[in-house]
Amino acid sequence: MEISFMEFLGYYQGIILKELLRHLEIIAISIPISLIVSIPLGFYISPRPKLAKFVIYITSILMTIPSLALFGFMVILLAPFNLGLGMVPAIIAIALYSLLPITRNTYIALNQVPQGMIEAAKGMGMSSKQILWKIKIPLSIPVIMAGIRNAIVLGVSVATFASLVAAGGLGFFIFAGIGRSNLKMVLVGAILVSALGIGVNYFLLTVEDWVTPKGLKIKR
Amino acid sequence: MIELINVTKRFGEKVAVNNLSLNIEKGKLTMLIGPSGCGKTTTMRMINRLTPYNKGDIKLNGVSINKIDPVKLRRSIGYVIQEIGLFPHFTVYDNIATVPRLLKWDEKKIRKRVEELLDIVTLDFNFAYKYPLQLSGGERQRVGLARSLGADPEVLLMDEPFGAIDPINRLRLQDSFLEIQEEIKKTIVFVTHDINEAIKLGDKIVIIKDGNLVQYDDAAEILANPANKFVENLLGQDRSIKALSLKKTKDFILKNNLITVSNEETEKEIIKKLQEKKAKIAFVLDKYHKLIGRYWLEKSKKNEQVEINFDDSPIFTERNNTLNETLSTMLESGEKLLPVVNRKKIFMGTIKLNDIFEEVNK
Amino acid sequence: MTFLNYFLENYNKIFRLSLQHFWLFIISLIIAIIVGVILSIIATEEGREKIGKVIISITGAAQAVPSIAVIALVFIYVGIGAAPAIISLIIYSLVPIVFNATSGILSVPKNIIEAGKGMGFTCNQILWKIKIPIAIPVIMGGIRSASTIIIGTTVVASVIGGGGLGDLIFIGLKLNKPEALFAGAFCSALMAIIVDTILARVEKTITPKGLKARK
Repeated sequence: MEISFMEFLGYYQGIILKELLRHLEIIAISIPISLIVSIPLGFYISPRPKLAKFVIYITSILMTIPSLALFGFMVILLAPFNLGLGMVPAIIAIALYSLLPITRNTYIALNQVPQGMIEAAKGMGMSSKQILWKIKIPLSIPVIMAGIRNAIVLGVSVATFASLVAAGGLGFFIFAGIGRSNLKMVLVGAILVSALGIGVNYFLLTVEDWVTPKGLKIKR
Repeated sequence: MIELINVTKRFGEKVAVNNLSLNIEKGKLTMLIGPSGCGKTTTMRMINRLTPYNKGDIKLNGVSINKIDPVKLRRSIGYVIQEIGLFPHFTVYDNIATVPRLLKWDEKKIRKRVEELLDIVTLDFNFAYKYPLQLSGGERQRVGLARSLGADPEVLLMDEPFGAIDPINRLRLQDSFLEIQEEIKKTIVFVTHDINEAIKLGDKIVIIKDGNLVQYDDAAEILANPANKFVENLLGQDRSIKALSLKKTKDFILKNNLITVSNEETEKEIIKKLQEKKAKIAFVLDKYHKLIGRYWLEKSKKNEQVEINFDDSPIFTERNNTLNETLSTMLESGEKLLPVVNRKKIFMGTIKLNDIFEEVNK
Repeated sequence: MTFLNYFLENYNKIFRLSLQHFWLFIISLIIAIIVGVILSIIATEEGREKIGKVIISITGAAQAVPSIAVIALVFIYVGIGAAPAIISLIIYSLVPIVFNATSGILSVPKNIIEAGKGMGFTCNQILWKIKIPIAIPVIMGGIRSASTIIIGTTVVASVIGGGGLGDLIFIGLKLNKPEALFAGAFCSALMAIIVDTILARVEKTITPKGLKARK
């Protein structure tokens, strides 16, 4: 029996919601994990250019690896711990992927604060700590947020593979749909995943704007 | 040579250039000056058709420029803008060779031309293989000038070319530029907002306000007889001192009664020479006649003996410095006599403070 | 080491799939570069500032769409096999290429273009002798990005019958054969890293020297 697209949506809305939440859950767990590692790492390497070069090189190789391949590696690595199925491989894959955008952006942001500004602050008697918290960090926030946004959008993409190891997520509709030749299912999955990606990106752009110090946004 | 006949240019509602008629003379440096937004840049850009005009006509050597293919026209006119716009991905050599290559000159001819031009703008030939990002501001300016002269155009259009340079280097560039123009004698249309620059450089000055021609004459004439209050204000209150800047150091150079020595001679020989001629100062020149040092005799405070002193970077003035620039230098340095050099540091003679005062008194 | 055994036993299959993967990559990349650069040139012609900006916004936003979605959509309308795989690869990789090429060309300083125009360059000459050489670092960045994306997306495209190393990964996941999964993951990762390293070299080589020069 052929049902229309809208009827399909209505009929399955329970499952759609469930998988959507699952999808978000995966991202919501992996990004904070990544932040805990990548932001301090970014801070740590910012005064150490040689180390930074090395770290950025390693994390960029991680990012070059196809997401499904990285995901596959996680499945293999975690299998002996019985964690090969479920959300864990996706979570770790996303965390590893996000290392590059967040670490690199943190490093660049902290280093591109103009030397002149720091000189002036020192000359006025600010301690290193104050310079860090009152000047360097506020000025770096926009770029760091951009890295985080990048990571989250990537996360939306990688989390679609979670359904391949029974972890749910919107990828379910696409992969199951292709398997069953159910085109409507595939369409729903494709549209939902795209909408999620674009929506999340747009939402985070707004957050980025909100978090940017007002003085930096003045357009002459 | 370049005739603007009742030229009008409108941007939407705003009239940028209003019925302007002007005759730019061949071989002269014509300055276009006026307040921001007065239409001087627009006027200049109409000459090479970067901005089309709405009414009237512009003729180059009697032919309306609308009848000439714009690309061909631009290749025959040199064009220098404030930011210069050197191509960062071309070497200095390639930058200068740009128009000759567009005109398909053969490479031998181009090589010779690049050498010539680098020499004219006093840059050593090994600059040819550097890149713009490796040059200082003054060096970029000079390459920009050389580039505009690449295919030896009759006409040069320059839009505040020295605007982005610091004041000290700007003076040097202006002096070099004047000397270069003495040699190449091009027809130049030069836009500036700096009245001092206009007076110092211009053979003729065009004053523009709100798109209208206010006065067009020699600098001396404008200073003596400003057409209206606006021109008076533009010239400023110190018009008579500004008139001093119409006179150039080169016209007051003294060539006799001065002692020059080469860098081979010993101090003993120099002291002897000075005492023979009853002089106190001798300038040291190298084999190319470049100024490289100065000796002077002084009575020592200790024992009333006459001592000889040496300075390896003597204060000098350039031949195209205006009289008041030279006067400033003298006052700052406390010297009543300065050596005069050209842009290649070649010694030309000396100038005395007294002669300047005489001129002021006239 | 069952992983190593798998490699040795299935050497032929792995090699064939790798080659297939590589062909899918190269064909899609070349077409995407040609189409992408042409589109960008058209979008950045004089007087078309608005179109250029719109294209940058659209491709900027489109970069947030997961690759699997494009594959799925192409699957729905075209079907399975190598052709739909290539189509989805081209569509998906056009986005970073067009985004980078368009923003790269539009970011060439206006005064340099002005100087070129004033000196008598024709529009074509300005494009090929000035705009593109100066925009090359950014354009190459887009191409590198696109390459990594294509290799990764090809892996996923095997789900619609595109072939390539993704087959090994999916077999590994579905039939619980970690050796196959590893082989597919390892080879595709290796290919991606090698290609990216080569392209980094290419980028360094074709970037005009003058842009890298510093006082």
